[in-house]
Amino acid sequence: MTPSLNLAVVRITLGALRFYIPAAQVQRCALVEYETPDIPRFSHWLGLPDEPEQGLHLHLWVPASQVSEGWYFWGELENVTLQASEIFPLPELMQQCSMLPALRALVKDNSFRPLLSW
Amino acid sequence: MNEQLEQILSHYQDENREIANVDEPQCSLVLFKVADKCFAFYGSHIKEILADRPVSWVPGCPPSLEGVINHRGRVESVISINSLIEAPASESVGKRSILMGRGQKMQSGIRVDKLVDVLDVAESQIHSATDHLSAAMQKVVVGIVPVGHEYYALLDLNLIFERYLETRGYDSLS
Repeated sequence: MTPSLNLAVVRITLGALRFYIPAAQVQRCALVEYETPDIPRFSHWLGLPDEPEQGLHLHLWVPASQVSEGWYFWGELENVTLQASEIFPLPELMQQCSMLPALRALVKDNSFRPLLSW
Repeated sequence: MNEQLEQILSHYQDENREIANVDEPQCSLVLFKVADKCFAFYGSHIKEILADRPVSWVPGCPPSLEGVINHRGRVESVISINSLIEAPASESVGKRSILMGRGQKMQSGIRVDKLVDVLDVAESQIHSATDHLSAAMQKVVVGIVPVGHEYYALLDLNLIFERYLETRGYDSLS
């Protein structure tokens, strides 16, 4: 029997938005104690408006993104496992027109959410 | 057997009868309206016509890329083409539809305000696109089709997708 394919990911919630990143690409996530001005905000890096300052204030490191200093964000981070059937390739038009950096696929939860991967 | 009659009929046997095809070539068109303007696609470019349904918005996309739908196990984009066809943004009222368009290189859903009809027309009824069209419209309109008392601008789906990618989904006038 072929084992069903799945992918360990982190789910990042920024206000009403959710993003997924393969867990293997996430090096670390820590609570922000002292904010440093030269560390970018995740939403700005994505080209999106600021998320509401709700939930936890976190510092995320994803070395594959080449953003060595990582990003700050407000919200939640969870480890989840996605089944292959929950992950969809991007439609061609979206592949070519989306401004989201590292958008690689869509994840179906209660809507379709970006899966970022490098 | 009447010999005379047989003689008369035998003339017809020698006749090389050719059946002339008087049927004109036809094509199927999908007629629709966007912002009260009349448009059409070749039926061969439209795989399916879907009733309007919720579209999942995806961040980071141009406003004309309204989002995605799950259709027959595939995620398909849904776009509005208003800016490409010089139609004002739709203030949606009533039943809208999604035309699942398949071009040579890509496919996508296209949201339209009103599906009017799907009908076969003689190719001779499709008039060439006039010079009166704006430069932007000339890039996507390949003919004009009179139906009843209205004129439908026939759009080429491949040109629509090409133009959409050129503008990356943003208003071509901006």
